[in-house]
Amino acid sequence: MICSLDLLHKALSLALTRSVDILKEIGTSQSIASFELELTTWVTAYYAYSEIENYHNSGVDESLTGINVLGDLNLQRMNESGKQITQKSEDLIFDSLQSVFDTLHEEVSKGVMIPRVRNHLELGVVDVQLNMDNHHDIVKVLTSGNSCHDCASKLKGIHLSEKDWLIDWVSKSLDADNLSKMKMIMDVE
Amino acid sequence: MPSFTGEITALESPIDVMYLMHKVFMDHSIKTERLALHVVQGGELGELKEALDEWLKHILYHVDTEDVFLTGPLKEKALPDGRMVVKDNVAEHDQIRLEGEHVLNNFSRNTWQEATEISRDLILALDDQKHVELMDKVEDLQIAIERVLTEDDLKIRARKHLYRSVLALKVTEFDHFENEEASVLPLVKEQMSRNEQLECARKLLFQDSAAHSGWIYDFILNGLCESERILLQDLRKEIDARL
Repeated sequence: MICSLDLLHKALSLALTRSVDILKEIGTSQSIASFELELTTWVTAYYAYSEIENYHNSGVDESLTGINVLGDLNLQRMNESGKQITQKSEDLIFDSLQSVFDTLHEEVSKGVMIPRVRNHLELGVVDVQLNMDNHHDIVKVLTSGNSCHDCASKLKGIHLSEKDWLIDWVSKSLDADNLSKMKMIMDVE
Repeated sequence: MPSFTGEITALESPIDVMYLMHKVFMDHSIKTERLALHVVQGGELGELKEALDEWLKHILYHVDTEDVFLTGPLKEKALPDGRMVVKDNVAEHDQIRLEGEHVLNNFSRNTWQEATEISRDLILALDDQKHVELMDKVEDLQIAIERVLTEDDLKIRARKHLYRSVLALKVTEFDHFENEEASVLPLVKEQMSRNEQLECARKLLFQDSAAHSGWIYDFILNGLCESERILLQDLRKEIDARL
């Protein structure tokens, strides 16, 4: 089974790497505005991820020792504890992202990026990436017993205009193989 | 006065040797950060470990020596914005030591520790009652995590944490060098005689207690361009003649 959540996570992570590349080129081939736009667009793409994360299925045998523990403790994505945990890890993503935007707006008010600020922004984006990775790991763990749905069919059902936008966005990050998997999931040529 | 990263063309005072040292340290930090990024992409750890060891050996000797011979003898000065030159410099040295420890801890992290961290995150996100309930089951929880996430997932995660800590050390170090050049070096020039500055420079460049006392001097010399090497060699001649 192709996991669209993993593909989207990969695209989100690579997009943050791309934003660091843009950051390093500000003043030569890139602008502060293009860095900011990259991050703003990332947030929009993250919402697509967020929408389908409930439907992910890690495909792990529930009878295995350990996985039972998650069930016994009601640690699953859709119950109260699971919602509490994923909300908390999502909050960390947005807190770190907000910190990047705050630095950007406070320090770069005159349109000039000094090396010191650039370094802090880079570290901030890496923090967003780590928080995103962490969130993805947590979602995978908490949806390990999820057998009713799959994230690919959920993604397939999103609105047509969003599909075009999302495919266009992931095409900047994913390699040809993963992009073709993504297009197949979303029924897009 | 030499700029922060450009070519250094003159040492107006002996303590300006710090510009040469900072420049070489920064080049090495950038190289090490690239190696750490390469490791995230699947590269080997060996070369990174070597570069990290060298980085930490130099920066830790550097800040320890500064505490005693550079900032140690200085009289405190408050800047117009309220910052305290000496106190802040010492605090930055502590921060560098702390970031260095994080790098070393992250270097030896294994996949079990990654699973432990995820367990901790899960537990910490819960309310108190659930929190206590889960603490008793933490090992089972880690096993569950290891069943869901592959060995590779956890290994990549560990390497990303290592990269983050290397980047954080670099950012802290660069900020510190910039602050030191802007605030501490002018104070040294105000308060120390030429001979005192030469002694301070000697302590920074040569470790008297080491079997090969010139290990720092050699490293700095090798990292400089030809014209900058001449500046360092001239300073060494003056140190040898006067001290």
